[in-house]
Amino acid sequence: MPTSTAPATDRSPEHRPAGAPGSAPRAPFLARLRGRNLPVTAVLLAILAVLVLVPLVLIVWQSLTNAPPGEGASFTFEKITQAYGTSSILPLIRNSAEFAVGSTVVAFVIGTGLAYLTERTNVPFRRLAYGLILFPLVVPGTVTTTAWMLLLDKNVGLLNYLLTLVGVHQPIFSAYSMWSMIWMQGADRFALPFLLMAAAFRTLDPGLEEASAMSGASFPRTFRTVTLPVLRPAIVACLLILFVENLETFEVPGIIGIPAHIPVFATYVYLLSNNVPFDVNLASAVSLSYIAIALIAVWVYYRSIRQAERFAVVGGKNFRPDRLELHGARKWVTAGVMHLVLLVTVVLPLAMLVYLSLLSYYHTPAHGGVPPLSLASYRWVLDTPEVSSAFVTNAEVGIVSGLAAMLLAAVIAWVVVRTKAPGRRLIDGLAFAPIAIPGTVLGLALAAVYLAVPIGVYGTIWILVIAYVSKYVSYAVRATHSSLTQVDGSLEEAATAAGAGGFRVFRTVTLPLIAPGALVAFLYVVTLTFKALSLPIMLTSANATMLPVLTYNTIQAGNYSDVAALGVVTTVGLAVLTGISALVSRRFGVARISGAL
Amino acid sequence: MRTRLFVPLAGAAAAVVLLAAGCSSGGPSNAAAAKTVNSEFAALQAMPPAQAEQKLVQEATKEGSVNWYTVTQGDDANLLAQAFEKAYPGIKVNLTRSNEPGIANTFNTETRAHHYNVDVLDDDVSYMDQFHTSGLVANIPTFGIDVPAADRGEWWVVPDIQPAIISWNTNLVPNSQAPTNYQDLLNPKWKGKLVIDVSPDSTVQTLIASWGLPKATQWLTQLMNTQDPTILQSHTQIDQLMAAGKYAVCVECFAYDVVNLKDNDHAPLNYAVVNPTPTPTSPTVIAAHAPHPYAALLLLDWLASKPGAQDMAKFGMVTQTAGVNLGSSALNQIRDSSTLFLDTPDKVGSIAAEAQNLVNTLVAAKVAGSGS
Repeated sequence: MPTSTAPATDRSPEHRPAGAPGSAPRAPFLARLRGRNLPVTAVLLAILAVLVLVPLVLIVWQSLTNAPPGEGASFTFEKITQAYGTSSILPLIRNSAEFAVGSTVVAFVIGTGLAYLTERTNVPFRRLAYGLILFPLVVPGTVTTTAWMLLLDKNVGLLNYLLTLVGVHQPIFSAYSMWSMIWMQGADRFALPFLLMAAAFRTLDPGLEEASAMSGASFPRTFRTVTLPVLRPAIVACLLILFVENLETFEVPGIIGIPAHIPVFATYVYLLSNNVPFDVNLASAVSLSYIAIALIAVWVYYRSIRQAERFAVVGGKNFRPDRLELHGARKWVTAGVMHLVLLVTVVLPLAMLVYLSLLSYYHTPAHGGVPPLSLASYRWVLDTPEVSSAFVTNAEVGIVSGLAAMLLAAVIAWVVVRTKAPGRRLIDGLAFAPIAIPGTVLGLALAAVYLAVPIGVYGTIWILVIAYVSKYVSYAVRATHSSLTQVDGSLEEAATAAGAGGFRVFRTVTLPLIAPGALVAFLYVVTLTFKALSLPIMLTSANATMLPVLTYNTIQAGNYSDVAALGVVTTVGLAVLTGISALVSRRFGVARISGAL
Repeated sequence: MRTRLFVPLAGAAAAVVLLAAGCSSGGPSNAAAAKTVNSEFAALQAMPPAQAEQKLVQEATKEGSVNWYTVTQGDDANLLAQAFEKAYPGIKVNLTRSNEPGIANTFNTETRAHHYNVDVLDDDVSYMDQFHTSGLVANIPTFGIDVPAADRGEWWVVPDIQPAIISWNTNLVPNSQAPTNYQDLLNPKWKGKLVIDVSPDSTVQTLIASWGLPKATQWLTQLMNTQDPTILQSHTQIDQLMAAGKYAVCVECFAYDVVNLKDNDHAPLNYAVVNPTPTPTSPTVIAAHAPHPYAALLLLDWLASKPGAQDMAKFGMVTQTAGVNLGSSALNQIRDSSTLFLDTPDKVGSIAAEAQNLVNTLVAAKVAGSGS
């Protein structure tokens, strides 16, 4: 059942031929403009141009010039040649592709497997599994990566040490390799495919599978020939968004890839920024291919979710897919495997964090027995002004960014879903594009823009707010968009018929209707500001140090126990925030969370 | 419709970018701004010391804050900022902390865009030297500065030093077999067991000064290409991982960290003080365009004074200021050793560029994945 996101049909007012028999008399010009929401559209386009197009155009401009803005740059292909004229770009592309594809596969397999078991089978302890699965959403990636680094290290890793206790004296694990990087990233990101695929499994019409079973098809055959094809759009969308996120992530490539000499695009751009003087033009030239790859993936993803959203309206037929009934040993073995996966991917790094946070410096018990435990790192977290200041700054920036992204997204979604305004598709596309702009590149571009335009934004929290709104408005739009498509427009029409103006309709009818989706979007954006490193790493300053940057600097200083304590405290705080989000989503359905992603 | 709207929008964005590209090119010249700060400082220097001190504190208090861009480790920088704020209530220290050469780079980028936010900054000597040559750094009056003459120049002060030592994990390397000089590190038995910081500039400078460029180049080439050391960013990270037993031998570890881990946390570490002893410094300077020049000078004055040095010693930092006990006999002994080679701007001169070139070619390139 198509929704109002479907392309305009011949019945829409803008396609009705003027003066045709039966057409209404032409309204005055200004009234027609108002009717088509042109002022709102123009303002939205202007905002999105500043947030999205200016940084993108600046990256292109810088890659085609030989000096930063304001320094008499002239056009040249020198930086393009420097970036792509040698073979050094090839390992970069290969590493980035291997890392992004590999971690996407790992995250997808784990997330989808868990989603299937919790949604489509009667495996025991599903609620416990749900709780554990959501943890990776709230633990900052820098902290998890540190935990994995010290778990898997070849020489001092806790896992290799534990193996020696059972007679295995040759180290099996090694933290500094591409395989480890893929594992760490995949294990950190499986909550996203879990949420997306759980929503897909939950809304799967069981009638199709029942018909297949009735006609004699076995379960595997039904799964292969019926379930999988129905789920294909969700699978494609899930794989693409995972690929884009893994391509731009900084945490694992920064903490493991740099010392392991495995550069990927995100770390390469960051390392270029560490040269003095920083060759911003070369960094921009390298970023072009980075953006291009992500843009292609995002374009395919965007098309696939737009297709899916057209049919996202909840139908009148209420159904609940049947669960696959597991019996006896099979049931308990399946439960065991599921919880073993969660033990390894979630509990193990969390336990490592708690253990690490209680040490004065990291060491295994191998030499000198069980090390003495201390709360010094927690005292450091509580007593250090830099930490409390980062928490406060992060909360301020997160809340302001979340609110701004949510409000902007609500207006965008309303224009796209409920109006026939010209340019609404472009607005939708522009609002979605920032997913494809990697955080390091966006940070690089915004720093250059606001250094060159002296309006007092550079070096303040406002450049971070602009950056977060630019980057995450796409997530907020998806959440509010899916909320709006699932609510019939007749309520707003009734309010309009009763004489309410456009703004009043939006404020009193539309906003309350999309509030749950918008709230989830708000909380998700706030959570991301506490988690993601790739964007603030390029924009941090004295007055605007975000928690992920402070964590990364503390890791760089080798104070792993302090990092772990910081991670434990942050995780507890974010778990509370996510708990609120989960309550909201439980009230209104998990689809809203997956919509936000 | 999309295409019709996208083209003018992209065009407008391009126009904004081009406008931005042109609008920041009209700032004051570096030389002019440096002259202003320099002339104010010169006027202070001409006053009787007591009067100059009084005016300095008055003006600094009026300014109310100072922006310090530093590579000093996070906790130490915070503690110093707090101690200064306690000594001078009403003057807030805004810290921007990063690793080398992040601070130099941020300062360079901001200054090129005529965004003048830095009052005081410190980073590797080679960058500070470049900034001084470019007229981005002010001259410093000498009153109130208590550090030894060797630790200050016309435009820089070195409040603290970082003597570097060869260190090893005693669980992995018995003391009797440990390396005690730089040639020992080339022994094949250390292949794959060494760790080195991504910027070992000070060690390379010391070796160039001691051995000459050809021999120093040969040593670093052999170390990087034959011994295959692990390269990490941050000395303190290396010290922690050495204590954990991840690496056997550290080519350039900071003495204060190793001594602290060994003596206070009983970590299985030991060390050798090499002659000459590379002693990295981070020359601290005042920006020529400092928005708070008096507060900047007061901070620098305090960092280089005896009370400042005593606070540094309390926080575990190493200072050469006379009569300051570092609280550790081992650190006092290293600090008072005659073998220290401080990489101050006056000592390293052209060596800094040679060392940086070697490090970029043989060490940094390897990190970026394009090295051998």
